[in-house]
Amino acid sequence: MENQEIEKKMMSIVAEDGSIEEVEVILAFEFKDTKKEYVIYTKNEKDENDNITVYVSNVDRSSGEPKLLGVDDEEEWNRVKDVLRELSKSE
Amino acid sequence: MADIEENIVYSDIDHGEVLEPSRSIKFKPSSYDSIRSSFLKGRLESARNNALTREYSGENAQEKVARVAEKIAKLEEKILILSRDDVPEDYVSRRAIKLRKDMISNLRYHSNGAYVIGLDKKEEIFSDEAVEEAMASQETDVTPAVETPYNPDSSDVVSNEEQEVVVPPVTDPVTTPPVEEGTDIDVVQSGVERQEIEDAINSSFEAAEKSGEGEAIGTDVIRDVIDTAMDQVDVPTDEVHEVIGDTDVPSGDDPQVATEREDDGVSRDVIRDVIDTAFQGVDEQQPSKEDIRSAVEEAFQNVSQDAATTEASPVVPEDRVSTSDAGQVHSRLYDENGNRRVRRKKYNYTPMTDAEIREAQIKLGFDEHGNLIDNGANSVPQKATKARVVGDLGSIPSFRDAFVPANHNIEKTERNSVVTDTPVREVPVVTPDRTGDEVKHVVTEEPVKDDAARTLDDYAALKARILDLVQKRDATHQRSVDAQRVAQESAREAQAARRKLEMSQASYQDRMKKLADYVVSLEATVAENVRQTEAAEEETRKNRDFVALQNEAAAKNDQIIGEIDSMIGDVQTPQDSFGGDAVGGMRR
Repeated sequence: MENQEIEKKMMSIVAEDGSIEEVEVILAFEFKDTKKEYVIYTKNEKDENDNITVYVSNVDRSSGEPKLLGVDDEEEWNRVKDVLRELSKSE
Repeated sequence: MADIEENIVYSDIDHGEVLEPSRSIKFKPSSYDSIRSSFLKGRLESARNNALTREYSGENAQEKVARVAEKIAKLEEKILILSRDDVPEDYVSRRAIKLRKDMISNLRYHSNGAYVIGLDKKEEIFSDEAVEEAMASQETDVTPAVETPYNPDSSDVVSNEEQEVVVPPVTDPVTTPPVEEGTDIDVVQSGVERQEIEDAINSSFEAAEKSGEGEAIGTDVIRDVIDTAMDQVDVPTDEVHEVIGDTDVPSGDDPQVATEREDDGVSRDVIRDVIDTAFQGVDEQQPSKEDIRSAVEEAFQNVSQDAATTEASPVVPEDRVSTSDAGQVHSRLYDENGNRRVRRKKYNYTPMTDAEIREAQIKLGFDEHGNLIDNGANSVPQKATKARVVGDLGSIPSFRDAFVPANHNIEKTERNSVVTDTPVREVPVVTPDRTGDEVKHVVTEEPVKDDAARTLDDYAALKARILDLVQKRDATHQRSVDAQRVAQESAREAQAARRKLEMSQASYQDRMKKLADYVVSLEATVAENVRQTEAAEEETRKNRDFVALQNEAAAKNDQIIGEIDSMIGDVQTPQDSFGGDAVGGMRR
């Protein structure tokens, strides 16, 4: 789709084994109330139904360099999913 | 959607280190695209708004504004493309010009010594109306004027050709002389014959080539030559009002009955517009002399075509319009406040008028004379070149200010706004008056058949040239897009490589530090070992000395023992001879 080729936001992530991978950021945001930041990225992995797998990480910048942490809290996870759900309905 | 976006702020991230596994979720392609588009739109709008809070300082403030305006226009184009597919190809250039104008007009001096715009002007500059204006198709812009009857005594409005503003009729009895119905006013065009311009340009080309500029001829040099040529033939600017009247008009100096050169003839700005448009294609290549000559020739064909399509007669050296036409011309030229309208049609951009440039320069404190003198003549063409590079957004300073005619020997054609010195070739011009009747003004003595045929030839050549240029434009555009894509990919690769190198360097530095610490530790151990060795050796030496002393003492003792034994032996011998016991022998 041409529109989707307009501008890709790429990100380099350093995996736990030290390898570096380029992934595409499809959303990065911060909740105004909790000041917690999240990044949603994809490695463009598709299943047999063309569904696309995306990954959600909590971004921790307390040490300066951004660190990607898991989203363990279920309430937090549901809130992130609400955002994704709403944005997916925006068009 | 609105609630969600009120609770979140889009952020930016381009790298990160994974410390814990991410959670994953799957999306349908449509949902995925929606999220992606929302984020992209948010980022683009954020970048666009940031442009308004920037500071523009120094004498290059206008150039900076021009660059930012083009950048914003590109961002807006991307935003528009996300939601619609009918964005015109020339949207960026049209919008950039409008943005630059609006931004410059809203620049205000900041306490930091720089110029700023401020987010309070956001609506004024980024308004949907302005975007829609830039979205308007080119075909709409060149729509011929609607022949609306003009009644100076009524309050009826008359739409101009762009139908953008309703304009009240001119009612000032002092500045606008009353015109009797049906009275014709001869308007003598003081524009310059095409052939004169071509001849002057050719002369300037020759002069440039003789002076050596022709060996490394570039578009800037050619623009210089063309501007010089226009100076030589005294091509008027759009700022000059041309006025002529017959017995119904009290004075030829009356500035209120103005002709519109945009419709009737060839002005300096029009020539410059079409030449710059033609040069856009040439600029992207390494231009040869033939390219330049071809571009100039095409530019003049455009001018001829322009004139031919806006007039009833294909070639009209002297234009004559009726007073009803004059009224429409006035309403097209001026808005309801009496301000002159900016022409926006036919070409990809609207250059700023000299008055607008001067106004912007005054706002920015730009001293054009001081600039020319202080910075030296060579710096001015460089600035002009930069201004063109960012998208033909106009020249700062103007061509006329920046360049000096190279050849003063060409005789300048004297003209005035009333009567032309050159022989007038008159052709029949039929223009409708207010009643719709046709009025024939002049009867020609010279057939115009050749001119008409020439016009057709010009049209055919122009059409072929346009098709060729369109193909070139599309091809170069595609190449540009491909090159930009490759550049973006390579930039990403370079960025990844840089990060990899940085991480490698960090790891290397860590190892080096550990190694250095190990070396220090080893050196300390070695030093301690040396010290212990030396201590042991000293102990050994001392022990050996002690052993030697002991051995020496033992030897002495042995010697003494030997002597004693020897002495004892001597004593025993006589005793034995006495038959007594040994013990007794010791008694003395």
